[in-house]
Amino acid sequence: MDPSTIIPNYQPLPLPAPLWLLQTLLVVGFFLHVIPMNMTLGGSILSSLLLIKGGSDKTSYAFRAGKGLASALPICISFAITQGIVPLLFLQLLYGPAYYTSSIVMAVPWISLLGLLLICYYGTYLITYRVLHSNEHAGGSGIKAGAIMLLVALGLGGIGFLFSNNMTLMLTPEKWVELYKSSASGLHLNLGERQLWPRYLHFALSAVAVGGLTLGAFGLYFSKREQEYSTWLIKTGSRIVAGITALQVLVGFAFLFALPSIATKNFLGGEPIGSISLAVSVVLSVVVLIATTIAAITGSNKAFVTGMLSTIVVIFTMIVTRHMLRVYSLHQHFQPDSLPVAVQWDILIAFLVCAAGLIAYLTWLTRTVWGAFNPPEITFQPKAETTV
Amino acid sequence: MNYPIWVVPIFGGGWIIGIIAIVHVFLSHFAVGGGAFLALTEELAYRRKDENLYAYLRQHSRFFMLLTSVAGAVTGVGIWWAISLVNPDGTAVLIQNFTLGWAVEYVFFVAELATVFAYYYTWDKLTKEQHLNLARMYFGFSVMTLVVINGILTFMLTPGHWLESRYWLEGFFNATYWPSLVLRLLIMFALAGMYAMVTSSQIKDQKTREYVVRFCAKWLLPIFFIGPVAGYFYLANVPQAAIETVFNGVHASGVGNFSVLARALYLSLILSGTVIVFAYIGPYLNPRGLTVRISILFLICGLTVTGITEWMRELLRKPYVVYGYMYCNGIRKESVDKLNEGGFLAQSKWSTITALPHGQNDIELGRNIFRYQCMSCHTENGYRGMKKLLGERDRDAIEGFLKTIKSRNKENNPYLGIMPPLVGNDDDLQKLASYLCTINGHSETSPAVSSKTRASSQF
Ligand code: HEC
Repeated sequence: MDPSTIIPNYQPLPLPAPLWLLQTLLVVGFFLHVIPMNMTLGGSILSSLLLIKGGSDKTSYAFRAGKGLASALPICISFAITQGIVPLLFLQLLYGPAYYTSSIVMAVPWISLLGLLLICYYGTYLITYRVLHSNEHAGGSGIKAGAIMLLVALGLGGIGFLFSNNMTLMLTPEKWVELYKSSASGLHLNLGERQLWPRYLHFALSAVAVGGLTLGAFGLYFSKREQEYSTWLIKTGSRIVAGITALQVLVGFAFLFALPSIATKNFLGGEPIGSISLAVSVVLSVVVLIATTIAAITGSNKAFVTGMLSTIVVIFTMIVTRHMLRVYSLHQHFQPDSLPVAVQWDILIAFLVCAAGLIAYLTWLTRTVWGAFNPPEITFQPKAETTV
Repeated sequence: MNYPIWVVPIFGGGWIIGIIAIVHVFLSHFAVGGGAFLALTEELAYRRKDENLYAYLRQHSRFFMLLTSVAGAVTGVGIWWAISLVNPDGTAVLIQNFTLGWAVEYVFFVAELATVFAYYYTWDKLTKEQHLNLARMYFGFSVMTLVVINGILTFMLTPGHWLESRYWLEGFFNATYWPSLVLRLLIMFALAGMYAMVTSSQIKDQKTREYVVRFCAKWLLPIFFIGPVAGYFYLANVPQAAIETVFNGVHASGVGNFSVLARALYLSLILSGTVIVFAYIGPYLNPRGLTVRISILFLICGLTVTGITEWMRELLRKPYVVYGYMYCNGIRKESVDKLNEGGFLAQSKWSTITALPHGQNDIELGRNIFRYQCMSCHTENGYRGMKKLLGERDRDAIEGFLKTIKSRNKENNPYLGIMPPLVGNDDDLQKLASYLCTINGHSETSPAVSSKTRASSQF
């Protein structure tokens, strides 16, 4: 049916800042959310596999790496949630009428996501405090922790799946009425959507790749203290990233051709921003593939760092690509550019100042904490030598 | 009308918001008050060089971190989930107005979380001064999140000059901003004291336990002395029409029991008075006697009072979501005239289309009007159910009632303080009546007359 009669109106209030700025904040905010979110999802998957592999051998590299990932998870989840606030804010502001409607159509799964999140979150604490750091379970603690972690990973993957459902459902107003008519209580998902599975797979795999990067980053951290462990971490992490990236090329194309044909055309030269961001992503993925393959074979720090930085850039350009997909899909029915703009200069400036302050504060805080965990005696080599 | 309605059987969508919001209020108030508690207690431990006190803080801080960073953050996001599902239009108003305000809050929230993690993980790793500073900073950031969100929350009840100027700052620093800020801070301190009683009642070393328990009891004092004053200023600035409904109920009608609000107010006053008196003669005068169980009892009382207070605040705002601007069913006050003239159904996006599967008959269309205009507060059979409220009214009585609540004149419509006026033309009213008759079983007495024949018989 023609959805134009049921497209909800924006509220008759102006936007608080120019559209380009709000859209930039949406994209940048999502980027800042995706990094910890991917570390969480990918980290939980890899951690569970590593812990199970390590089993009861607590000195094995696999166990240590799995434990390291597991201990980082609570903080990652916490940041994934807080960083999620920004894109959620600007998504509601710019595409609220689409987002609210699709959320209502799938209300029950959408709100159950919160319960799932709470359980997974406490699950990670359970693993770090009760299982990994207690001595009673000297035996198969790796297996047990890994098994619980697997459940957590499944839960987190489920949350991602629900997001994929809603983020695709909001793009297709033509489906809303039929779904809503068949249940007004919000008992739906968007399983009939052609792009759903490739899209979800694309995102989930990228999370595993970021998990691999996190492992490699641990390797960098250990490179001065335990050369062998460090190399193992970098090689393992790089192998994961390289393997996933190769797979992503296939999944990515499947995703691209599962899109509505107009969107596919736009990405293949029909529209400049989307085409450029996609092209850059593909080219950089090749760089990632080469760099991480080298790092996987040689264990080279430099190659790994190159791969890591390129991946981060690819994630950003892919997010731009994803944003453009939303723009193409919603363009016909939702025009945030039709809203008047009345810039709230005072609070806009206050926000920018606060944001700058936050960056400064976090830098300072990281330094302080880093200093606390790496007291000068250890990193300050000459002094250590004289005392020996 | 603008959005589809999420139909939540029995409870109604309001409760979904309510449950998440109340849990979140407990936890977030604890996050701020608890921050003050950590900072001050650590200051004390530092000055007295009291290792026992440090040991206690270390314990308490894990409990604190787990509760606030996990459940606090998730329920905070949860409120957004809930309000956007239940009241998308109202949410959109807040978002379009205050996105940047929320963005500022987010900055402080990130700083707060980063600090709580840093604080928790650096016990014994930093110097005592550095660690104490982290506690102070945590408190500062968490207060800032309150300073921001308080403006948005109070805006909903007293938007003040924003109604004319549409200038966000006038909505933000509104008439109830300062009293509400003070009240919330006091509640936060009191809750922090009560939470800390639970953890401190388990301290092994008896001397430290007595000392800390007594210290906790003192956290209830500020609200005892300043609370009533702040409360008075708060109520004095709330729209007086809202206050009237609180204390008088709707006398002219059968809903005298709306003064349940007044009763809730008394209950919460009595309960908080009791808590404070008992805190004085219990933990303060006799800290040795405080067991874990008693401390949990205190906490439950405190949470009950907080819950009731929040609930009252929400009721005060009824029937609006933004007072004087948008009703809680998402209809803007200024659009009522237009909807009355042209008809509600005729000008709604979702309400007619969704009636289609059962055929567009009067009852189905009436059901949709009910969903859009009444279901933000009522359900069919469950919470505040229509079946019970309609009672024995027959079709004429129902029509009469609907005409009453359609009026926007206080003299004719005693319900104006609690229900938004019914919006729409006569045709809409007939359809709604047809539907309501099916709920309490009075549809047989007056077979659903097609609205067309009715309308034509009027001309
Ligand atoms: C803002 C919330 C709200 C909305 C919206 C609302 N009501 Fe009510 N209504 C109330 C409250 C509160 C009461 C009092 C309930 C009680 O006494 O338990 C009430 C009472 C009633 C009663 C009983 C009145 C009496 O004197 O017996 C009826 C009938 C009723 N509402 C019908 C409706 C209809 C029809 C609509 C939609 C057009 C509607 N309400 C919309 C809040 C609301």
